[in-house]
Amino acid sequence: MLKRSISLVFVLFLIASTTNWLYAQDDDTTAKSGSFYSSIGFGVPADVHSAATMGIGLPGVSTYNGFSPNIANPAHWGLINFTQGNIAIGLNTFESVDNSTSARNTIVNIDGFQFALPLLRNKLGVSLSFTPIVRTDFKRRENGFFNSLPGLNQDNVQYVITTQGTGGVNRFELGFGYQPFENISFGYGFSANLLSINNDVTPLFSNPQYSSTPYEIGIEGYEFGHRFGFFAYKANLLRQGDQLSFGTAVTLPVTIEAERSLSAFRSINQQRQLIEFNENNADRNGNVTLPLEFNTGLTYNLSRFTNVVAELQLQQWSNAEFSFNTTQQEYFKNRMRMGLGAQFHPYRANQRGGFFSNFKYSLGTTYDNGHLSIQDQDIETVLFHAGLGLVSRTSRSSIDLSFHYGIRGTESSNLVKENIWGFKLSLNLAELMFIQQRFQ
Amino acid sequence: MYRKNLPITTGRFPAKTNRFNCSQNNSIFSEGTQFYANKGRRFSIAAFLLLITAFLSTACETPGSVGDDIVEDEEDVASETIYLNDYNIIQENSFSGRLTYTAVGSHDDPVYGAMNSVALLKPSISISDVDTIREDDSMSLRLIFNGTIYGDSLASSSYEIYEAGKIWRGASLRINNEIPVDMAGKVADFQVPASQDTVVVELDQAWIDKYAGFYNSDPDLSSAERDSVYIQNFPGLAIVPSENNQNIRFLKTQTLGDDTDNEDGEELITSFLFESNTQEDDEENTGPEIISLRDWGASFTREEVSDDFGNFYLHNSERVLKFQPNLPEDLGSKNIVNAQLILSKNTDPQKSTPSVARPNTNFIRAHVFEEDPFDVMAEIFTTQPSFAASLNDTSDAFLMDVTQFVLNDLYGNANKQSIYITIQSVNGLIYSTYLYDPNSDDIRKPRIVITYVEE
Repeated sequence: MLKRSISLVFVLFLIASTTNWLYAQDDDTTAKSGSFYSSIGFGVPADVHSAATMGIGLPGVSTYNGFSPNIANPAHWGLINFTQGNIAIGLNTFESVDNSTSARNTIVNIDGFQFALPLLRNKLGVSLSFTPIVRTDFKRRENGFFNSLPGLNQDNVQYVITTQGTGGVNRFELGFGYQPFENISFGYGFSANLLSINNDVTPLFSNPQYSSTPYEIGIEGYEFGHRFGFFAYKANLLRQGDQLSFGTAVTLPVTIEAERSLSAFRSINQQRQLIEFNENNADRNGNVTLPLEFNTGLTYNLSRFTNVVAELQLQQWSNAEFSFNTTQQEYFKNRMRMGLGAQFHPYRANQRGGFFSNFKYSLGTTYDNGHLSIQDQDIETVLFHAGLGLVSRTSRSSIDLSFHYGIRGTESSNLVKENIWGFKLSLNLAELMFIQQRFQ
Repeated sequence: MYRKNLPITTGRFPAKTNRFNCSQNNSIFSEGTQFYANKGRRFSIAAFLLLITAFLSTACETPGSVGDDIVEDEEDVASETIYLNDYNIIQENSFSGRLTYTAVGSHDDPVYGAMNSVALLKPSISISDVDTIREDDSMSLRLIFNGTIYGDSLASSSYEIYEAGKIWRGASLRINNEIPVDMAGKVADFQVPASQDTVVVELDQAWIDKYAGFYNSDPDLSSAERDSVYIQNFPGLAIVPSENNQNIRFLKTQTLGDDTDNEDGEELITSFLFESNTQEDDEENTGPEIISLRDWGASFTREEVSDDFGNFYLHNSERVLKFQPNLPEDLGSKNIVNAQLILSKNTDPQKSTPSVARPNTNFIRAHVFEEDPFDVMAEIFTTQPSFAASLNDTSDAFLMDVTQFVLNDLYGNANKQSIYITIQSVNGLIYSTYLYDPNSDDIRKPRIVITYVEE
């Protein structure tokens, strides 16, 4: 246990070091920005996956795993036997092009952490988690010219305005799962949804008389939310040893009463002051509404070694709200995301095979018709996923590593097409806790 | 559910098998130990993969302007123009003594009025160069003119030198504060062509003797006492333009520090020259000794003319434009990046009198005071300007960056402050200019253009 803890700490230290190194570079080149489309509205939906299905790119609403907590479906928390912990980190690179220019952005971020604890083993469990729901991580540049003093025959002033957006909506959730019957469980999650978006804007002008003082646009607020889950399974359905499980989860919409601040430090009467530009403006307060979300899926275990997963996610973005920019709010549309994947678990064999039998293998693909429709073009995303799980034969801890590649958007109608690739790493711990051990 | 008979999704139960194996079976325990070693390697492999992937994929970002047209529904940068309709022209007199230049001459300018300037000079009585002024010694006045001419730039100028009619002090001389001249005794007269910049004028012996009386005063007095007696009793010289004078010229009366007028690299300014005619046999004749100016100034008067061209004009030493911009409150919600005060120069009056040469006004200054000063000209003279601007040649307008004033006005000051605009500086030269007033075309009106970045 001690060795494992040390190893885990070591890996986390390496990850933290890597992240710090990435962030410590020059501001213009740091790995701090993601999809261009996260600059629209209050961000793009963060697709948070359970560790068990990370390799196939699906939330895992219907896929139970006893050794890593499930973030997609509260009903799974009633099934857990071990105390489970999980932390996930992701890295994504976005190579964006439109009709005239291109950009390359990279983002490293924590995909969330979760701690699940059985109160009654295989009967009642609780979960505490912190996960991103909507994420805005972008760096955008706007170039142009303006006539500084019309009518005075002055040279046009060139400008470059760089906007670095970070933040989004994060969910801090406490919930429980309960298994009242042998094959059926329910779950509920109560969450605080924390909205925090920070856009740092730095204007630069060719004429030094124009101030390049950066300013900050911040949107903050919080609201409580609710999530419900259901999970059922049936064994020996088509043949001996198989199992079909069904899961679904519903997240109710949440409207956050948010405050939007626009501020900058300026020198006033030779003293540096924080200026709130919109302190008394009526549009300082507004609503940000997270959409109703419905997740469902089927997992079919052909045997203990192979399973196939199909899931569907629906989000009612047409009812989402972003009152701070109604133009961008008009882009919202209902989102559908579906995916199919398969997993192979050779490590479950009683007898050890070769080196490659120590891993879990995952392969999947997802299609997302997007939550944005701009100029009558849906911003669709197609991703291909592959995963590798490092699963212990004798321990309950594991590491899941997944890779993905895909395409988002289109270049037509002067929109942005993004080639996306990256990986995710999930560290999973599962232990029997609070149980007196009989043998040492 | 999976706990007993459904190992498919959960695999084996290592919690049970492990603990039994680890405690009871040495071979399994050994396998477990081996596992830990393997597992350590797996963690290392994972960490290694993560590091390599991260390094390779995140070396640099190249953020660009992709999608600029999508997210922007308005201009990135916009501006708002505030016209300055409420203004005051303050007519007050600035200082005219102890300046870099001293005006001397007269000219009847049809645009800016009839001007007359009498130069007042007083030689020093410092004994550092000359011990004593004897009866036979002679003195002359060496006048060094700046090349600038106001009026008829081709005409020769003639002047007469008298003794001033009253005691004056250069530091307190002001424009339009006339000092009388004692016309009873002429000290000298001279004429200077427009192209000539140096004149040496022999001074009358009677005046030299009067000056020598102060110079050779009681040697028991301290230098401060000598100077005090001298300043309070000796009126000095007044260079008066003749009646037919057609221009005003400017004596260099103070060093600039950036001009070298002779071969020695010494900057020449107006001074007195002393020549001893009682030379001792053993003394080598080294030429005249220089007696510098103890005090100087100009008794300058102007008679204003009709306002054929309006009253929106400024003199550098007499007229100040004061205004308080009425900035709308909603500007406070804008992220202002620049504010330009625009004052367009009206050259029509000057073009109507092409034969009159005038020093070109190409610079304006702006002073901002916490409270309206009692003596505006004195405050302007003694303090550094808050803002300044040169004439923009392409627009023939003064474009002054007043961003800080606007920010202070919007966010800092409970009491609104005013801007005091003056032209050039108070250095003894005479500058005047017309500006387009608030009744002009929009493109020429006095205004502030405030530029801000849209959110």
